[in-house]
This record gives sequence, structure tokens and C-alpha cells, in this order.
Amino acid sequence: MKGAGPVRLEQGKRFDRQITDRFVNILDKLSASPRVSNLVYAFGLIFFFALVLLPPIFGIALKLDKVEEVFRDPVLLARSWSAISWSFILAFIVSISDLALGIPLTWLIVRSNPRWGSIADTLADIPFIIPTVALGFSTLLFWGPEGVASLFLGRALLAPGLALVMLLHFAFSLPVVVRVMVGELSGYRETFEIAARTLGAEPFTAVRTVTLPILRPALVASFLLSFARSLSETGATIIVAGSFENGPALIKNSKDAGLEGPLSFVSFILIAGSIIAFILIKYLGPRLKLPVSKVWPETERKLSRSSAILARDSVSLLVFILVVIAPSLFIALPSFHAVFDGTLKEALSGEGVWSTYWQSLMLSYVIGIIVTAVNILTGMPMAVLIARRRLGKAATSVIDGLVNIPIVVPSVALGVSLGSFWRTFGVLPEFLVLTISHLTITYTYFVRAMSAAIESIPTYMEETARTLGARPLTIFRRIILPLTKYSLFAGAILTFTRSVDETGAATAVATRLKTAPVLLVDWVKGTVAVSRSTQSLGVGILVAISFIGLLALRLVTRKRR
Amino acid sequence: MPHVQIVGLTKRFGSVIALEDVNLDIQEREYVSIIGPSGCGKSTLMKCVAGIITPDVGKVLVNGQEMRNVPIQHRRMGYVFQEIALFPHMRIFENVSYGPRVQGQPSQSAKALVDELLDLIKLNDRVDSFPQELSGGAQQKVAVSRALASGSALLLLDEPFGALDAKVRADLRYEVRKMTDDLRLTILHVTHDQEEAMSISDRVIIMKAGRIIEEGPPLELYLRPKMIFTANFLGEANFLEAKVIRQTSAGAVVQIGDMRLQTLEKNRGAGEEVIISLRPGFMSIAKGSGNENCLRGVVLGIRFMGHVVRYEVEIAGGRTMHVEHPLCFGELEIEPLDKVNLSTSPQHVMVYSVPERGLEKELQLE
Amino acid sequence: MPSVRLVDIVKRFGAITAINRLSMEIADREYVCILGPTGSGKTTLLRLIAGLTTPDEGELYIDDKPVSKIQAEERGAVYVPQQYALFPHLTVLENVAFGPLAHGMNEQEALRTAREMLEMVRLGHRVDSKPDELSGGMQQRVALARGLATRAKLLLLDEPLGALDARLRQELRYKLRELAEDSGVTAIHVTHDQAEAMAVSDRIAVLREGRIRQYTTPFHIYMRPQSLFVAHFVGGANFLQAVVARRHPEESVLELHLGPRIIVRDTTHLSAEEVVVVIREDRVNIAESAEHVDSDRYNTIEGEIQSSRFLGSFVSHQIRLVSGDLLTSKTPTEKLEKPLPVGRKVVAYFKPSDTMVYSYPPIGLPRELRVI
Repeated sequence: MKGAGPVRLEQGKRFDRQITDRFVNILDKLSASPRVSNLVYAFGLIFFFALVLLPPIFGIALKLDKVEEVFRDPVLLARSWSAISWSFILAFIVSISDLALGIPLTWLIVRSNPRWGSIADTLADIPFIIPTVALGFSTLLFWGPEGVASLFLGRALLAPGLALVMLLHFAFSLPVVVRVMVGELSGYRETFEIAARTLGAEPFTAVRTVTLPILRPALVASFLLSFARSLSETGATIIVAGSFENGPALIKNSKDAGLEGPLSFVSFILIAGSIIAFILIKYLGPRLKLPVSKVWPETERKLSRSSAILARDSVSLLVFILVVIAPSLFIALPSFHAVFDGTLKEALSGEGVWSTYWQSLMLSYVIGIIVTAVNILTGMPMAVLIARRRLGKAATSVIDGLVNIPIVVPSVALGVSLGSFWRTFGVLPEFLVLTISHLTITYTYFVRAMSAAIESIPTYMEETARTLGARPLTIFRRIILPLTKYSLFAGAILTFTRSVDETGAATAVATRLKTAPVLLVDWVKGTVAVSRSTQSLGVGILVAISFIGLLALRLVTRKRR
Repeated sequence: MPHVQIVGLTKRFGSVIALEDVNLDIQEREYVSIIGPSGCGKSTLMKCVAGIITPDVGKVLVNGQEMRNVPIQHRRMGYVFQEIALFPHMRIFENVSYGPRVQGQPSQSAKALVDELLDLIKLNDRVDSFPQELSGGAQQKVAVSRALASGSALLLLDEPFGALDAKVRADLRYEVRKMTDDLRLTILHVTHDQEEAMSISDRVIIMKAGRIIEEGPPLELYLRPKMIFTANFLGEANFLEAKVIRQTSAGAVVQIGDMRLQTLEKNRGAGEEVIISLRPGFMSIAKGSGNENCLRGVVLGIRFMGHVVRYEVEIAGGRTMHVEHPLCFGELEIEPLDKVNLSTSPQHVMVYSVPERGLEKELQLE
Repeated sequence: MPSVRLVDIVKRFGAITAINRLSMEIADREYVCILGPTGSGKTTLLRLIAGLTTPDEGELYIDDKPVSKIQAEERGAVYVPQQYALFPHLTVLENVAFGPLAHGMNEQEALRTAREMLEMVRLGHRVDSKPDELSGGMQQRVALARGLATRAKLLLLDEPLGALDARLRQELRYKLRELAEDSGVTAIHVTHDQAEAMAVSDRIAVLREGRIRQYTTPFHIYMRPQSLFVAHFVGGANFLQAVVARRHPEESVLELHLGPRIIVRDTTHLSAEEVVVVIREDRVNIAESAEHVDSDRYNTIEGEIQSSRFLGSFVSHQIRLVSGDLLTSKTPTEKLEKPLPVGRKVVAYFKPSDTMVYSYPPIGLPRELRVI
């Protein structure tokens, strides 16, 4: 820590340092010119609109003629509408349920015994870090004939279908809710709650009438994120859907069957629908009135007792472990089995299906790295633009909203739209389109992480630095970056893991190139016939590498806390 | 009308001792202020009384009843926070009526109570506003009303005026004191502002590093502080190293450099080294060398402060004294570099033993 | 040659006019306080001078050069916010060296300058500490050292003592003034605390709703306030409503509510005009009875003690006069050890020359005096 930056007490400088210092000095002087900084912001904005936002939204318009196909076939039409409705209904049910479990879990993590709390906190990250493809496969096995249930029943507890999809979505959307709520509750000023208690309110009443209403923005935000994740997920859903079809499942099935009509139609409706739903929730959410005027002193006193709290904690932890954690981690068993039954040797030899596997893995990680680097460079100016409201309040909130669209819109639909857009403009190599689609989907994460971090630095820090003579680049290098570096790392890690995780867009866009998750879906669904062992090991390796990402994320964020 | 006893209260946060064996008795309807520098433990003490913090050792008794197992919401104490803490999502009416509502009171009587309290602070026309729409001073008044509406006769004020402008603070404290007098309450008021504490309290408690240093009625503490820290904290004071020359029945005579002062101090020995303290407002300044019982020096600077003129005088030995004199036209034509003498009456010269840790450390305000 | 000059500055934020045609001059090496209630525009004014925001109208000159095109980084005016803004990830030394380094000084020189500055504020022994390890008063000193290390000529202080305890504020304000003087800078110090302004400034600018109400030395602000607001905001003042009964060449006779009459030196108001008489609290004296007072030299009004407050070096009594007005009298604690009891009948007296007379404000006295 000491000696970081230019404050080193050494005599003289090395030649190469002199050159870099000169170079930085020139850049610094340039940064003071409003023209140059405007250029940088413009670059960020143009990149965002030209590459990230517009192609996916308007690409679908180029396919509207295909949409007509659907209207001519009533069966296809009915199937399409059914899939679309189910997408939204599912997302809604899942989000509500996630809040229902997420809120007590949040309280457990932040307010209860620190030991249990930090265990729950760590566990809560798991469904988030494990690639959804792996989650899907693990869930399938857990509830299926080879799973836990079979020990008691001798047959599958849950076969692929709606119920399994619901449980899956519930599991992978929960960590999002917990992350947001835990962050908000940890930063929440407890004074309000204490004030309520000094006025005679039982703890339960105080939380219900004071804390939750004040945290309403966080509730809305977590609902939104959970909703978006459920709408969007493709790979895992396909694995456990069976004959059930939501939007993404129908799109994949249509693609496999060569039916352009439903593909375009459903994508179009999903894009439009998700944006509308997003706006509605953002607008209605804050207006939602929580019941704060009614009080039930006797009941709420009982609910505040330590026995009630113990019950709350135990039940939520139990449900959490049984419904979320166990199904998510189940994959470890067959994976380990595969390590010892010779499949690992096969894998390492690179023969047969395994050569494709390693190529796909390589592809996923190369795309991930490119995407992370590009998003950092192009997302940084946007983050500053948003955090410091450089374009004025109104314009900033519009841009802030627009930046959210890539995660609001289901990635599979985005992929369809993107594919059609770039194909119209000539022949772009598939690799490029694949990379661009991954870029689009992960863009939001970095910008949001950075803009939140920058916003938390009070403006008077920068202002004081300015009056001390520091130009914009110096301020950015010596004040903003050091103070936001944890968020920068977290944002980068988030971007990378999300990119590697992506199944929807990758499925929609590419025909020849298969990223790792897409390949694994083929393996699991049987499109490519492989043994159970091979499936398990393939998924297991992906999970193992992702856990390194989890470790890195933990280390970085733990330092913060 | 609650009567509060604090017995042997001790609280540690890790290695930091926030409170160490604090004992305090607060009578019914007494207005007691607790003052001290940041970190002295005054807020921690208050929070222990309210139940927000649990002490490691010791008891809090209200009307003889031990509070250890009584949770915050059953202690019936009104608490006003420095950050104001009005619920931002509720209007003024809902804020003030929160206490009665949450305790299950019927809405009619709650409404009547709220109207009465808002009337007292003259804010009934703002019942439908949200807290953010009111000024800081108004918000804090609402916070006080809210605390009172919950039905307590014991009010705990935790640096209630910290967030307000100087002028607003000065006016508001008298309003609050009057309100609490009218309602016959017992008050515990924590502040770092000694003028605030002295102007409205029946009794002032001085705390430093987790302990109570001294306590008493404001006037008594100001005129005759027993501890050297109190002398410095309650108002400005000049401190000089001196030596006792003679101890007589009238009082000790001390010597500073070649100057002498008569004091009322008893029980000192000749030759003893002491520290004397003189308040700037308790000295008279005049041109010339004066008589035997005064300090002589040269005027370094003069500052007009409004109601007083402040003189910076260097006395023999290189020490600087500050004297504040009410403004009288034509009666004092003193200018910088004039030779002056500073005189005071013996009752205003306070004598202290030399502190073990040294004077500077003992006087440290933070 | 004035160091800072503002000419007809206007600054708006949406519908609110924060600074309303403001002009002022600050001389080189002067220590000026901008005093006013919250929302009066004082922070905005400071930020305009610093270059952190630009005026909608008007011109700003630093050392006689227009600075409208000069960015904050180049103005040589250092801004110290109330929260000090010490960079939390840098040590005290690195914080103070930040400015010189940003100005292009080489490392060694910058660090040497930083050490010098820290010695000057007596923090040489804490160079390696992080800001959060220091007390409030120490942090404030580091913030000042950091500003002065850039050799800036203009120091802009936004409530520099605001974050500190009352007693500490009292002690440190003189040190603040000393530091500015020793460094030879021009200082502009924003505050809402009039005692602080009186204690440290060469001149005080009283700001209200974006306008300067009076800009002069502490002495003149206190003794010759140009308006009721200034009289009320700086120092304690009494306000009595009266009507001019008779005008003489050298003095006027005013009649208070319910009859009592007083003589004032003011002759600018006409007969029957409604006026407000301002008398500073420390100029009102209390006597047990009228016999003890020379009625030729003093105005006397009977009343009774309504309350008393002990303020440390002063005791203040509130006297309900027979005119119905409430008069506050401030007496040094030295003169009057025990406050007078409530209900005691007394006589308040003051010299005619200690009064100031103003026309009764059209919007009414309470609104005119309102601080919030």
C-alpha cells in the first residue's frame, strides 16, 4: 500500500519509466481539454449505441417477413403464444418466490449469528457462479432416477417439465436477490429501525413498517434482476424442460427444426415484451404501497421473539439447502465418479468427442477474455458519464435505463436479432458475430458495477483534487481507480463468468462454432451421443474452472467488507 | 415522573474502553446534560440507558426497576437522534403518531395527542408534508414531538442540534427546554457544546475517556471547576505555571515570574509548584504597571469581537494571556505594544496541582 | 491590487437564483468571512471562485485577470470542503504532496515541500498515518497543509471548523487565522457561525438569499448594521417596535407600545413613522430601581425578569417590559455572579447613542428576521 503510485523515495528514474512518465504527462494535459474528454465520452456512447444497443433491438425488424409465417399456421401461433405467456408467468412466479425466501435469508446473513450468516452468504453465491448449463444438468440428475429421490422412491421424483423448470429458475435467480438485498441491508442506517423501537415498536413491526419500505428500491431492483434472469436463461431450461416450452425453449426447438417463423416471432415478442415489463415494473414498483398503517402488536411481539427468529432462520436455511444448494452441487458426485472410471484419461487424451470439447472450452475462454477487455475499455467512459451525470439529469437517467436493456432482454432473442442484423450486412465471420453477441450481453455488468462504485466517491473529492491542480486523467488514475479497484475487479470477473456461462445467444447465433455450454447442452440432450460419465465430466470440468472465478470474486469482495 | 439510576456501568468495544464504572443519579424532572469531547463515552452511556447497547457490567434502574432484561421497545423512553431519523417514507402526521399507533392505541386518541404536540411546536400546518420538505430545525422539533407522543416522561436527547446552524441551534435549545418544563419531563441531554449545556441544564456532567470527571450546576462548575480539564472544557481559560510562596488563612499567594497573585486556595505548601487558571472574562486590563497583585505585560494584538474586545497580552516569561473585556467607549484606549497590567479578584484565580501526564496532555480536547 | 473581484455575478439552479447580482472585492492577503444562514448561497459563491461551477452572468477576476476561461486546475485557488476530502487511500504525506506533484514538481521536491508544510501545522510526526487514523482537528490541519503546499495564493475554506466539537472550534479558529497570515495567502472562509466570523476576519460579508447585505469590518457590522437582518444575524440584538413621537435636530423621541418613551440619536425618521429600534444585548443594563440610574444619560424602562440563562462568560436576562416587549440583557458573569430571580421587578436602561433605528419592514418584522 505504501509506496504505491508515484510516491517512491528513490533517487533518479529508469529510462523506460521516464518515457512512460512523459507519455502519461502528455495524455494528462490532453485530458484537460474539453474537446478530448468529449471525444472519449462520444466514443463510449457511439460504441454502445452502434454495437451494443441498436443491432439487437432492430435486427429483429429485418426478420418481420418471417414472422408472417407464424400467422398462417394456427398451431404454430398457438404454440408460440403459449411459450411466450409461460415465459412471463414463470418469471413472475419465480421472482416472487425468490423474494419470499430471499428476504429471510438476507436477515439471516446480515443480522443473525455471524458464523451461520457467513456460511449462508458463501453458499448463496454458488448458484450464481456455477454455469447455468451445469445447474440444469445437476438439477436434472438430482430430481431424476439417479438422484437423491431415487434412494427412497426407486424412481424419479420429478421428470423434465414445468415443475423442474420452476425449481431450476428459482435456484439460479435466488443469489441475485440475496446479493442485492444483503448489500442494501448491510449499508442500511439502522438508526431508523432503532428509532422505531424506541417509540415502542416490536422488532418485527419496525422492520415491516420502517426498514422494508425504506429498502423498497432494493426490493424492486432484485425483483427485476430475478425476473430478467428467468426470462433469459436458455441452456439449463432446455435440459430440464422436457416437452414444456417457454420462449427460449421454443426458439431452440424451432432452430433445430428449421422453422424461421416461430423463431422470429417469439424473439420479437420477447424483446418488446421484456422492455415493456421492465418499464412497467420500474414505474409501478416504487408506487407499490406496503401495508404500514396497520399494526398487530400482540402477534408481532410473538414474531419478534428469539424462538420465532430461530424458526425463521432454520426453515429458510433448510429450504435453501434442500431446494437450491443440494440440486446445484449434486453434479459433483457423478463428476468425481467420472474422474476415477477412466473418463478423465479419455478427456485428457483429446480423442473423439473430447477434442471438440477442448476446442469449445478454448473458444469460450478466448471470447470471455476479449469481451472482458473490450467492455472495460468501452464501458469505463460510460460509467463515468452515468455516475457523474455529465449529460445532465434527464439524459443520464435515459442512458442509465438503456444500458440495462441487454440484461433485460432475453439473451436468446438478442442473439436471433443480432444474427439477423449482421447477416444482412454481408458475411461476417461467425466468430465475430459470436463475440459481438457475448459483448452485448455482458456490457451491462461492468458499466453498472463501475458506475455504482464511482458514484460512491463523493464529488468533493474530485473537486478538491482539481483545485489542487490535478487534471482529469490524473484524478482518474490517482483517485478514482485506486478507490474503485475492487469494483473494477468484481465487474471484470462478473463479465467474464457471465460470458462463459452464456447459452442463449450462442445457441441462436452460431451454427458451426459451439461454445462450451452449447456443446454441453448437445451432450446432455443427446443430440451428440455420449455416456453419462462423459457428460458429467464435461460439465464438471467447466464447473471446476468456474469455482476459481468464485474464489477470486470472494477474495476481492471480502477485502471490501 | 421517572428517576434514573446508573450504577457501575462499564462497556468495552474490543480493546477500547468506552465506559468505565460510571455512576449517575438523575432526579425526577431534572434536566441533566452530559458533555465531553468526541469519544468520551457520552453517546454510549445514553445508548445503554435506552437499551440500544448492552453494558458489560453495571445496572440501569428506572424508578427502581432494573432494565437489563427490558428490550428497547418496552423501556418507555423517548429518544431523539443526532441524524434526526424521521421516517422519510411517512408524512409528519404518520411520523409523530407512529408511537401511539404501534403500541395499539385507538386512532382517535392518537390523533388528539399528535394535534396537541404539533400545536406546541407550531407546525400543525405541516402535518401532510414529508420530512425532507422541512428545514433542519423544524425536522428536529418534529422528532422531539414524535418521541414525546410515544408517551414517555423520560426524554433522551443525543446531540439533537448537531446538524443545525449556530443560530438555529441557539434558539431551538430554549424552545425545547421550555417544552420539557411545561410537560414536566426528566431529560438526559448529550452534547459536545458546552454553551448549550450550561444555558439550559439544571446539572452538567463532564465526561472524558469513559469516566465522569466532574458534575454540578453550570454556574458552580464554571466559577469553581475542581478539575483542570473542566476549567478548560467549559469555557476558555488561561493556564500558567506558578509557585506557591505563602499559604495564609486568607489563601495562598502564588508567584509567576516576578509577579504575584492572591488566591483563595487553602491547604497548599510554600514552594509547591502549581498551575493556575484565569478566565479571559474575569480579568481587568489597564494601562500602566498597576499594583502588586497583578500580572504585567505587553499588548500583542487586539480583536473586536462584538460584545467584548479580546486582548492578546504577552506577560513576563514569554507566556501569552487572553483577556476579554466588554466594550466601553473612551474608557479604555489601549493599543498594541502598550504596557498593561491585568488584575483579578482572588476568588477567580483557580489553583490546581500539576497534572501527572503534563499540562498539555491533560487539557487535550480530542 | 485586489486579489479577487466579482462583478454582477448571477448563478441559477433551475428556478432558484442562488447568487443574485453579487459584486465584491477581496484584497490581497485579506482574510474574509462569508457569513450567512444555510441556503444563502455561500458555498455556491466559493465554488464559483474556485472554478468548480460557472456563473450564468457576470465576471470574475483573480489578480485582475478574468478567469472565466481558466479551469479550476489552473486558477491557483485551493478549495477545502467541510469534510476535508483527504484521500483515504494515501498517507498524510502523500496527501499533502498531491498538489505539488499534480503541478509538475518532481517527487523529491514535492515530498520535501510536503514535510515542511506538515511541520508548520505541527503534524510532522504523523506523516505516515492514514487520514482515518487522525482526529478531526488533525485532519483539518492536514487539509490546510495540503492546500498551502501548492503555494496557491487563494485559500477557499468551506465551513472549515464545522465538523469539529464546539470547544475545539473555538480553540482552532485562531490557529486557522494565524496559519493563513503566516502563509501570506488570501483567505475566503465560509461559515454560518457569526462568533467565528467575528473572531477571525478582516472583513465580513453577510449573505442572504444570494445577495450581500453588508460587507465591512467586524466592528462596523456590529456597531453599524445596515439592516435589521444583519443586526439580528451578527451578535445578539433586541428589537423594539415604536412610533416616532417627536423629532428634534439632535435626537428623536420614540414611543413604545403601551406608552413608555425613549430618546434616540437617530433623526432620519419622520414623525408618526413606524420604526424598529435595535439595541445590542450587551448594551442593555439592569438596575434594581430607577433611583440608581441617571435618567439624563440613560433611557429607562420598567419591567420584570422573565427568565435568565447562564452562558459561561455571560449571563443573559430576559426582561418583560411594561411596553409588552421582551428585552434581553447580557451581563458579564464577573459583574453579576448570581442571576436575578424570575419575577423580580427591575429597570432596564441604555444610552440613546447605543440605539439604531430602522423603518418598520413592509413584510413584517418576523419575516424580515427569519433565519431559516
